[in-house]
This record gives sequence, structure tokens and C-alpha cells, in this order.
Amino acid sequence: MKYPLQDDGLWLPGEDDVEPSRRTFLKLAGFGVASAGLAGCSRAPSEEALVPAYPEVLTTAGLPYSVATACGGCSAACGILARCRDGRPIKVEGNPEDPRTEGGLCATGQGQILELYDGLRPRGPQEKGKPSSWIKANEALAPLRSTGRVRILTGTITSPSTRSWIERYLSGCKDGAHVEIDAISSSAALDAHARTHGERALPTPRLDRARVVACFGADPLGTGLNPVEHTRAWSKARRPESGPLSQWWQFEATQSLTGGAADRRLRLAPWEYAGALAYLVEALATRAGRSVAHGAPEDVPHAEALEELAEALWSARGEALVLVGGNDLTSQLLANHANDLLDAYGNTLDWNRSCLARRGDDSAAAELAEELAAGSVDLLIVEGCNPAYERPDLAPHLREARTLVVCSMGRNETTALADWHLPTPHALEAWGDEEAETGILTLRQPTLPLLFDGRTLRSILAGWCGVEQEDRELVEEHLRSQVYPRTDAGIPFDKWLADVRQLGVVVLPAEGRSLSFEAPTVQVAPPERDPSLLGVVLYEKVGLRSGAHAHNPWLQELPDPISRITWDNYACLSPERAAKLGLAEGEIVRLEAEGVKPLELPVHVQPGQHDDIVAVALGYGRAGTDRFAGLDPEWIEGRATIHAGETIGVAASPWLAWVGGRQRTDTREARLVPTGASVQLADIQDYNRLELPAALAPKGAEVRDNIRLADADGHLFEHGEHHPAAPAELWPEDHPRPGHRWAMAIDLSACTGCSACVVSCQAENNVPVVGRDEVRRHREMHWIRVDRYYRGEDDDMALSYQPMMCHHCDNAPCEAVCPVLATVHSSEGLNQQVYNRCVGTRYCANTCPYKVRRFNWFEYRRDDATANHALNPDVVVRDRGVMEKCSFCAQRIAQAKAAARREGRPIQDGEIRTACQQSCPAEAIVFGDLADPDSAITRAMENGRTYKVLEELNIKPSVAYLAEARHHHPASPLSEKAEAPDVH
Amino acid sequence: MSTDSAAVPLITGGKTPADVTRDVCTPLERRPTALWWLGMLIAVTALGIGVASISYQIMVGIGTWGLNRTVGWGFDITNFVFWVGIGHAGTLISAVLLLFRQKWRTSINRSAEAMTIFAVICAALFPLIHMGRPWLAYWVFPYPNPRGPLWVNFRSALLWDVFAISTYFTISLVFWYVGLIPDLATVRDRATGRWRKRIFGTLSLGWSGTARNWSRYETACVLLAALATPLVVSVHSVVSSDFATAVIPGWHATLFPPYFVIGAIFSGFAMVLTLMLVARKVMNFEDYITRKHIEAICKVLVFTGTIVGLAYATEFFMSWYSGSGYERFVFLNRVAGPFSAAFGVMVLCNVITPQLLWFRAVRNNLLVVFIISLMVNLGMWFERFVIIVTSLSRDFLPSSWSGYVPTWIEVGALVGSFGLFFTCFLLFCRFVPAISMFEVKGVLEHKHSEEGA
Repeated sequence: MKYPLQDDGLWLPGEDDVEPSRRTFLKLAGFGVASAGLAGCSRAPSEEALVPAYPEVLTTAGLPYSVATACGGCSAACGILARCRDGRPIKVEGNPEDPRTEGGLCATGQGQILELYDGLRPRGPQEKGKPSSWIKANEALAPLRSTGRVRILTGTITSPSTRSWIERYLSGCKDGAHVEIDAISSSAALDAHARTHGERALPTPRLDRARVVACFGADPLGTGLNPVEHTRAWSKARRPESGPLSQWWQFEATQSLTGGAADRRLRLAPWEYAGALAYLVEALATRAGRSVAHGAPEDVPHAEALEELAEALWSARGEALVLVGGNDLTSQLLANHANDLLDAYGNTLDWNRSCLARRGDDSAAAELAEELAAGSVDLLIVEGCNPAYERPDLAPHLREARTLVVCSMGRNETTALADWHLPTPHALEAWGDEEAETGILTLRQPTLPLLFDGRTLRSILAGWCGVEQEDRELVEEHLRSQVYPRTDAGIPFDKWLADVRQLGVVVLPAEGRSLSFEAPTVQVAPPERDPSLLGVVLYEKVGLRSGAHAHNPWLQELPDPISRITWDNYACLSPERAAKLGLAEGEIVRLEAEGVKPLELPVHVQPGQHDDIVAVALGYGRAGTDRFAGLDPEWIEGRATIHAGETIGVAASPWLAWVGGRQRTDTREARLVPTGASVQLADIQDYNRLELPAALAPKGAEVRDNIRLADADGHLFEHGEHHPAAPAELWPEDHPRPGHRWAMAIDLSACTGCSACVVSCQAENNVPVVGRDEVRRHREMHWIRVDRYYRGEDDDMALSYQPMMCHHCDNAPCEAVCPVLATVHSSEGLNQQVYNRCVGTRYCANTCPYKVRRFNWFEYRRDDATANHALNPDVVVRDRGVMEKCSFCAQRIAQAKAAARREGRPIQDGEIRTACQQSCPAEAIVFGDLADPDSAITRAMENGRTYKVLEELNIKPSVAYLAEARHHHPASPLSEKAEAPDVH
Repeated sequence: MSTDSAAVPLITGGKTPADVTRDVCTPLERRPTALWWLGMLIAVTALGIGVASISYQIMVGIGTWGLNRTVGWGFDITNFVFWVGIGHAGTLISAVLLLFRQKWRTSINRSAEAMTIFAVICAALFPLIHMGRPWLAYWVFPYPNPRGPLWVNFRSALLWDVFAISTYFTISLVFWYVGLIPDLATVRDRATGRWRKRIFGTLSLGWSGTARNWSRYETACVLLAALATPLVVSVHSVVSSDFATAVIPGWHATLFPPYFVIGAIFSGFAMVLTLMLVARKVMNFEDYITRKHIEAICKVLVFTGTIVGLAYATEFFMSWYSGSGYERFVFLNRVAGPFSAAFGVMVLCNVITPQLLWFRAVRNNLLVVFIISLMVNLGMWFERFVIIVTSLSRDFLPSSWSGYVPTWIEVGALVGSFGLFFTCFLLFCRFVPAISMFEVKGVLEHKHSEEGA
């Protein structure tokens, strides 16, 4: 059946050969008048504020353009391009010019756009909660510089210009000091390097150069420092086509993204890290012909594996790496020693581009706490952190400063205590220079005029120093005096700056440093713990991280990539421990420990977790999360996500511990007390394995084959019931395929499950937030989901991820069944959903074998007029009662086609990037035109690892997957299964 | 096939034609009984619950049902298939048995046909309200329009449903009405009130009982019966295509058309049995709807029930024989998965209990027969539920598996459909001769008249 539908409905002047008739003329005239009028309506972008990244794209009404700036999601400050329309940003994308991320961006970064349009941000300075003004604030606060003891408490400052203004401001104080803290401290790693290398800094791991990696409790791919950079680098070493696969060993207590992607993952409790590391260092030293005694315990767990690991690391020295998470100095010193033995420094650990994103100093924070407790601080200025929530060491003392000034974009636990709350602008409306890695500067520039009256810390301090300059001038001045001279640009500053404003990134020449190593003397003490208690591990989740983004509904509704649960934190227990305690998913337990208030949390049974651990996510229980009270669709059986006065989840940060002056997330021990109550967690995946339930599994087809595995060389394993492609068609191919054939390939080897694609798609396609109760009812609306399957058990656990979206099948089952032709095929292979025509029978969703269609069960709430500014004007907001699904970003295809046609050229390969693809930090997604024989997608389709899910149904999907290549551990029962002969 | 009519009379009590007229018309002419009022009260209450539930659902959204991203159809389409199935017996009795000259049909065909019409109304309700935007339901009709013109999708089984159901409803209504004309004339002739005379006068289309009238009537009836007969097979075949043409394991089966047709006849006869057992008691029709009728229906039930059981077994065999892991899993999941209780109810009610009807003693115990008929009704509702919900809830990708729990709004719609059905049926008993008087007169014991009326 052929449909007389146009591919894209595009019409461009000059395309029609026909002489314009009177009717056409009138139409065009009318359109011209109307569009001229509309163009006049749009707010002209301020010339000063907006410099498009690509000057060839004009800032014409209705046409998108990008502004290169720096992300404010975390301290990594990745380069981003803010896609703007009519003077306001509607989407952020990674900036390909940033050499760290090469255009990737994480879920948190994608969520930025919604935080910009947060209508609850204060309009201006607040004095004790009452609206005030900048004039009054400055009058009151500027003189305090000289009153006495002034402390500036910030998160890690990555902006060199802000840092210099802090120094300049403090230099005028009688007793001024700057204290940096992090919600999750990396102080031990910094101090360890200070001890072994004489510099308190973090060398950047180069995962693309590492052949063998041993990782103890760190999560560089998920929630570490700059996960985008690390995921990008890691993915380069994980493609069998481009060289041998790196080998990743993960030792961890809780299940992390990195652990899920590892080749070998072994469970190790945090108190065992140091012992295991000592064992490893000793084993490496033996191989190096040195004798080292760090006091490795006799009964070190996984001794055999550690021996094997030592051998693997040693044979790859120079290309090997040991990463250690946590804030334990002993472990960090041991890691440094191991890395030195492995010749990692200068090879897989880069001193030239050291990481500046986490510089918090636990001892400085402790000193500040003492000063505050003594009541000796006259002025405390807080910025870029929320100590009242995330730092229980400082929280009780904040109010003891004589004057507490808090600079923060939104209201939080700390601003509630403040004498003055000075609003700061959102990253997308501010100027700035960010250097999160030595020598790589991302320039921050506003994408729209200030929405609310915020000022950066830099300009506030400059003002109090008596320098009345625009923020832009302050940043430019700093660039002129400090950065420009370090470049070898060879062009005048103004021209250089114009270039930088377009690119958004400055890469300064590397310094070529090497630091000498001094072996630490460490003695590992045997762990002292009460075996009747469970060790508590506090961890961060992808998206919300340490809680700074808890007010972002996209990130709250983003399913955790591991548990697939939304809108909550919970107490994770291993299946064995849960069974032993007789606890099931959702039962509420009370965690009790000495010196802290008990936590009441629902249980989540987490396969792959250490049996003696209970893990709780930080970042929940944030004040003000009752803003989501009106989020849910209102109906008779609907239960509100939250009621006024409550919080989303429970704050676990008071359970952070300080051991030996260092913040620790993994040292507390707790007793678990069942409360008898239970809740239903809002998780989107009920069944978590590829193996069918044993009682229901048909013989020979016990395992579903939608995830397929390959060996480290990229050869596909045949396993389970894999059907070959269906035989040839009964009917000859008679569909005309005049132009493009859009298709997508997803490399499961590279996918870590980070879910950046999910939020990116949500932002691009105006996907609604539905609330906790609707998620419980399995009515989430995400157009792309990242399916997660557990493979193996306990010490052989691996996670497989599979991003799922509409497969745009050539023989689409959905298209055949719609009675009103609301879903039809384009000649370019797109499965198009026609919202206007849809009557909502849901027949298409039922018959979709991938279950990717999403129905608008209700009129979803879009009450927040400010938040609605984040809606993409190129994508319609769907009404109640219609079906929706992934469109392959049809609007982007249309725009690229229009641009190509306008310029009289063919579309280049890679010119169209779907939102998910654009954001993917691992470049796991390839999209393109199969009609182009040289395109990346055509090459991907010919890869030996490529397969299509449910190909045997002869539905001819346009989405293919590249099988997950790993070094399969020989002892793993799954890889045995994987090598079993093909069963039909 | 008239052997058994010789043994036991079809109509008992030594009725004369005058008795028949009196017995059938009396309920229409006197004040309704308390029992009728009670029935009406319950039916209208149920209808009210349905109207409230459905209005709320249309105002707020399909989200007020328990459906989700995986299970897109639940009670809605289950109810639809259930009601369409119920309708089948009426057509079978009035058209097919007419063509086969089965005389025992005469005293039940009128109400069976009425049942068909009301069941089809109930059935048609669900595809309408299950739409996300029911106010645009008219888009499923292929009519000339200014939107392109935008046509409907002739490949979609749901569109065939539209045609099948509307055709079925039209033919059934016309057939039923034509069959009513002679009796309406009788009521007209007996009427005393002016308005009553006028209304029945109009409705009986000037019937005067002449030979010419009768001759034309006979021709029309046979023609309509011939038209309606294929519908007995086609309607449920089309309905089954909703599932058979989809790729979902548990739906995608070539067995479905005959399987659904036999299931429909089975459930329809069960509903006829339920209604007749009540009606003969409540309306004192024991002499017209005799044990012989009950016995005949029971035999149909045991016959069709056995075929239904065979169909279930065939489904299982095919799932094994297909060699497809997906197919096999779906059926194992039906038996032992999360919805195994529904499967159990289905097998117990549809396969096991009807087998009791092999025994004459069971067939003669009206209470047991009544319970079995109710069980079959229940079992057939669950059969559709099992097919629709269990197949959807666990299909290809384990990540998307999901349960399904109906909301009260959904239950309200089901209750409402029963309310609508029984309200219509009670009104029918009150205002229209529930037994075809002229046909019954033709089969009265003493008369031994020619075939037909």
C-alpha cells in the first residue's frame, strides 16, 4: 500500500517549477505578512549577550542557533552548545570542541535547561527571607570586608577569574580565608598525592590509554569526577574494531555503572579495599623485584583473582591503571604506589592535565567548623555548595557566624539560615571561565538576558572591592591578562576572544610536567567492625548526584540505571541478605546507628551487592522538593507524588562520617529494624533478567536473545534461541525508496547505561513528567528507555544495557493495525505518528513487539509557565488520548534537509544527530542514511557484531545493535552458556 | 430433525392459540410485577454506575483505567469480545435454526434475538469508549471528508470490526423487527388505550394478516435469515482478527476465527440459558419454555463447550509444535504465570463443568443448569481476559513485562454494561411480546399444523 504522504512536508521557495498561480501568490503574500508580523513579536536577542557558535547560522526568528558555553551541572564544567530559538535556549548539547567530552553530555547536564526555567528562583536578594535589593545588600555587606574574620566557603571553584577575585577580596580583609568543600570529598586522594608526589592534585586517568584497569570502589563512568570525559575515553578502548579491548577489573561493594561494564566484577566490602590493595601492591612489587610490606592480611578475599589481576596489570605496565574510590588515605596511598609500580604516572595518569574539579579540603573544613563553633567568624560567605544539607560537619555551626551570606541560584537548606540570600544566575545566563582540567578552559557566556536578578560571586566580590564592572568585563579582563598570554594564538586579543566565544573552549598547551614519586609507608590495619551490623555505604545516583539537582523533575523521574527506580532513595540489600532478614522489596526498615538519627527507608533488593552492606543514595530528602505536590494528573485513584511539607526520599547526608578528619561515605555501621510498613517503589522494570522464570521457561529457549554477546575480538556468540532473519518476502519489494533511508545502530559494548540519552530525548521532544504514582502504574512517557538486565550472580554479575526506542520497522506491525492511519511509513523509512489523526485505540502499542509506544493517559500537567519555556517549539506538545513515540528526531531531519536544500548540497553524513546520539558520552549511537554507501551507519550495519532484535518476526527494524563485546571471564556460567551451540 | 418433537410436546399445558395470546400479552397489559420493578431497580442502578464511570473516564482520560504501557487493552476489549460473543446465540437461533426448520426455537427465538441486539449495543460501547479521544470516533468510518480526503486503513482488523459490528447490528435489528410485526399487530388488536393503539398500529406497519401479508412475510424472513447466517461466522471471525493479525505471541494464531466463533456460540447459548431460566419463572412461561428447550440448549452447550476445550488444547499443541520459544512461553505463562488464576477459572468453567451436561440428571436439575450457565458466562469472560491480558503482559522483551490491575472505574464500566443489557431486556419483556406468539401457535401440540406459522 502506498501513501500519498510527503516525506517531510517541506516547501522551499524556488523549489516549485510551476508558475505561481493567483492562489499561490495570495497564499505566499499572506504568509509573508503573517511571518513578518510574527518575526516582530519575537524578543530580539541582545547583541551583547548572544554570539552564536556558528556565525553562518543567523539569529533569525524561528531558526535555531547555538551558543557555546559551559555546563553548570557539576564542577566538571563540560563545554556545551545551548541550542536557542528566538532568544532563549531550549536544549543543551555537548560541545564537540571540548577535547574532554568531544560533544558528549550527561543526564545532569541535559537537565540544566529545566533548572534555568525554574519559576521558584528568587527574583532578587533576600534579607532574612524578605525581598530586598542589590543596592541594599551591597550597602549592608560591602563594609563587612574589614570587620574582622571573613570566611568564604565554596564548593570547588573551577573559575580562575572567580578564584582571583576571591583572593583579591580576602587580601583586603583583616583575617580572610577561602575554604573549599565538596559534597563528596576527594580530600584523601589529593592528600595522598601531596604525600607521594609533593602536589595536592589529582592526575587525570586516561582510560583510552589503559589496557588493564583495576578499580576499587570507584565509579568513573557513572558518578565520579567528569563521567562524560571518562566514558568517552573508556568507550574508545572498548570497541573490538579499533584495537584490543581493554580489560576492566572492578572490586566494589555496591553495584555501580562502572561495575556493570566491567569484564570481571568481584564484591569487596569497603573495609577490605585497603587489604586487597596492599596485597596487590605487594604482588606487583614482587614482580618488580622489590620487597614491599604494607601489611596485607593473610586471608585477603579473592586472593586468587588478585594474583591473576596482578599478573595482568604487570604484563600491561605502562598501559595499566589502578583506580580507587572513597576517601580513605591508606587506600589512596596504596593506589599511588601501585600506579607507580605500574608506570602509570605520565602514561595512564596525566599530570599535565590534572583534574581541578574537586579540590575540597577536609582539614580546612574542620578548621572552619571549629572557628564557627567558637563564634569567631564575623562574615561567612557561602557559594556553590549547600553545607546545611550536604555537610553535617558544618551544618550545625553555620548559624554561628555573625553574618551569613549565601549566594545560591535557588532556595535551599543553607539559604533558609542566611541573613542574606544573594541569588546567582544560572550557568546558562552567566559569564564565566571554567578550568576543570589544567589547561582546558570552557568559556561560559549567557544564552539569554538574565531571567531573574542574579549576580555571580565574582561580580559580587568585585563590587565589594569597589570595582564596578560588568561581569563580562571581569571575565574578559581575566582572559586578557591571564589566559591570552599563555596561548600562542598569534592574533590580537579581540580576534582571539571572538574565536573563543564561538568555540567555547580554550586549550592551552600542556606543560609536560613529571613529578617524582616517593613511596609511602603504609601499614594496613585489620578492619575493626561488629559483624552483627551491616556496613553502610552512601552513594550518589546518576542524575541527581549529591542532591544539587533534586528540584529537577526530569532527573527525579529518570530511572536509576541500575535499580530502574524513580522518585525515591531506598536501602539496597543483596538478595542473600534480604532473604536472611526476611525482607522483600518495598518493606520499610529503620537503619539505626550510634550518634545519628535513624533513617526509615524502603528496601530495594539489589543483585550484585555485597552481602554485608546496606547502601543508601545521597541527594534525596532535599527541602523544597514538595514543589512537586501538584505534579501528578489528578484523578480518583491517583496518589500524589508528594504532599506539602514532605520531601522526596530521605536525606542520608547526616550519615556521612568523619574518620581521622576525613569525610567518609562507607564507614558507618547500622542495625536494620523492620517497621512492618511497606511501600511500592516506582520502578519501571519488573523483570530484570534475560533468563525466563525457571518454572515457565520452555526447553531450549530459557534465555531471551535480545542482548547478544561477543568475545573480546568481536565475534558474536550464538546462544539461546536466536532465529536467523526471516526468509525472503512473498511479494517483491515495490515500495519506492527515492531518497534517504534513516537507520540507527547502537553499540552495546559502549553503552554504560548512563541515561544521558533519556533526558536529552525528554528535553528535545517535550516528553512530559508523569509523577511517582504514574510510574508505579508503568505509565512513564520516555521515548527512549535503557533496559537493564542482570547477567550472572554475586561475583559474576554483569549488567547489560539496551537502549530501546521506536525501531521504525519497514514492516511495522503498528502501521498495519491503526484503523485511522495515524501511524504511517515515510518513503525514507520513518515510522511517523500523526498526533492529529490519532484516536487512541492503543492497538499499535499492543502490537509493538518492542513496547516503545507511549500513550497520553491523561492531560499531563504543564502548569508552570516558566518551565514551559523549555519546551521545544519544533515539537508539538501532545494532547490527552493520543499515542506518541520516538520519531528519530524528525524535526532535526527536516531542519537538516531544509538547510541542505537551501544551500543546494546533499546532506552530509553525520550532519543529522538525533538528541540521544548527540548526548551519548560513549558515542554508542550511530544515526544516518543507509542509502549512502559510505555513511557511518552503513558501515555499522556491516559490522560483524551487528544484529537486530526480533529480526525473526520479519518486521525489518531500522535499529540495529552491536553485540556486547567483553573479556568473558572463563569461570562465568554465563559465558559457558554463551558458547553453547545454536539451538533452534 | 423433528423426531424428538413427536416424543415430547414442545409446548406443554394443553394450550390453545387463545391461551398463547393471553399468556404472552398479559405481562404487557397489566401493571408490572414487584419482581419486575426489583429487577429494573438493580439494572438501572448498575447502568447508573456505568454512566458515571464512563462519563468520568471520558472527562479525565483513559488513565482512570488500570492499563499501562505494556497492557494497552484490559477490561475494555475483554468486555467487547464477551458481549459480541453473547450476541451470537440469538442470530444462530433465529436465523440458522429457522433455515434448518428447528421448531423448538420458536418460543425462545424472540428473546434470544433481543438479547443479540442488546449485547451488540453493549459490545459496541467498548470500542467507542476505549478510544483515547472518543469524540473523534467517527473517523473510523470511511466517508468522504475534507481532510485530504483522509481515508481509513483497510488493513486494520479494528476497522473490519467497525464494519462487522455495524452490519451485524443492522441485520439483527431488521430481522428482529420484521419478525415482530405479526405479534405487534396482535398487541395492537388487543389494545384498549388510544395511544397504545396508535403506537402499536404504527409499529405493526398496517399488518392485516392476509395471505398476501403472510406470503411476503415468509419470503422476507427467509431472505433475512439467509443474510444473517454468514454473520454468525463472520462477526466473531473478524473480532478474532484483532488478535490474530497482531504479532504478539498468544494472539498471532490462525486458529482464532473458528475458535472465537465456537466460543461465541457457546457463550451466547449460556446467556440464553441464563435468561430463559429466569424468564420462564418470572414471567410464568414454564409452558412455553419447557424442559425440552432447556435440554436442547444444554446439548448445544456440551457440544460447543467440548469444541472450545479442543480449541484450547489445539492452541497449546500449536505453541509446542511451532517450535517458537515465545509461543511456548506464553502458554506456559498462562498456566503458571501471574494470571494463572484467570486461566484456572477459564478451564474450570468452560471445559470441565459443561461436561456435567452429558448427564440427563444434571440437565433436568434446573438449579444446576442455571449455575453451569452462569459459570460458562464467567468462564467465557475470563477466556477473553486470558487471551488479551496475559499475552500482552509478557511478550518479547522481559524489560517491558508488566502486570495489570483494573481500577474501580473499569469495573464500573463492566457493571454498567450489564446494567444497560438488563435494562434493555426488562423493557423488552415489558413492552414487546417476549415469545413469538404466531410461531408458537404453529407448533402447538394438538394442531400438528404445517411447518412455519
